[in-house]
Amino acid sequence: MKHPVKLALILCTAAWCLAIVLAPLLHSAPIYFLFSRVCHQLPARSWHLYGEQLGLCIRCTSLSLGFLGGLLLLQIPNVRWLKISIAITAMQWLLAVTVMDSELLRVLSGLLLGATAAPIIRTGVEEMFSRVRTAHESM
Amino acid sequence: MNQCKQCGATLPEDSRFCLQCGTENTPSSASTAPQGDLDFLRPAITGGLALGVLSSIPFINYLNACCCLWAQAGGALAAWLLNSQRPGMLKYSDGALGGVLSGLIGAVVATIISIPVQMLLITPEAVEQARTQLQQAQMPPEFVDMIMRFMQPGFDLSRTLISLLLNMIFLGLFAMIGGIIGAAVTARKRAE
Repeated sequence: MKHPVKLALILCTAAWCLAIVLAPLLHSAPIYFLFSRVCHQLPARSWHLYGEQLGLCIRCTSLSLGFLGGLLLLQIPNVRWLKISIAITAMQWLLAVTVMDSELLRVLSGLLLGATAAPIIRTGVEEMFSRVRTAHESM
Repeated sequence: MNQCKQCGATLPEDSRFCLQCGTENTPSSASTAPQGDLDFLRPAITGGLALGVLSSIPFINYLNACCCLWAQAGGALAAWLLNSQRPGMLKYSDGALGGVLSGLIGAVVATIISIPVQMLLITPEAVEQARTQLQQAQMPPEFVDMIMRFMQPGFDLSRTLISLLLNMIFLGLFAMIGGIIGAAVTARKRAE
């Protein structure tokens, strides 16, 4: 296999995204519980499916989907775009607490940040596993 | 010192991609000059202490409900401290390793600090208030019971051990993400 770490990362992220949607479909308390460690899960800030909210809030769901999309579609890490998306997310948050909170802006900034972070994080994880493998082989 | 063949930016040793323009660098263009080993321990302890303390103080720890923001900040702090040892030459994997270590240290710190915090702050009245709030969410009642099992007054060893395990998984994961992002951002800044 040419890129096992990348494949593992895509599979784990896909499972994470699937779990977000499966939580309300399966009425799964353990999934909600695990996601409660990383997200506030406020009902007013979450999408709902068949009367139950998704496992994560709208922003976290958008970040996760953007991350999966970035892993699948973007190959080259670009720090400039990551910085821009961090700034956009920060500005959106500032706008939300001062002037106006928009669900669409939360979705778009989350998707952008997730997508731009994905190739950088993939590269970091690949490099880290490569280093661990090299260190293990030289022992 | 390596330079990007596309834009001329300074690159960390053996870096696959330019941190400025993203151009892929072939291994032959990477320098093989030996460099001093990074000291991971001190940045990891500093990052871990910061994220552990901030993750266990009531109200302040609420930022962890935004994709474990304190964990990401702790990982980024570790990467920033690592970058000061090797200015502009930090690899993403250095940030990842520093982040993971700070996340694991932070998990232990957060779990230890939260024991007295829980013993002091979790009263039967606080538990009832939390239950009422949780019941307003559109989630299964079993989830509320599960959360309430972790919100009981006093000390419980099994509850503490499960918290430690979950902290190690999530704080470690998100501190690693913060470490990689921190390495990317700080390395770029130095390269400029």
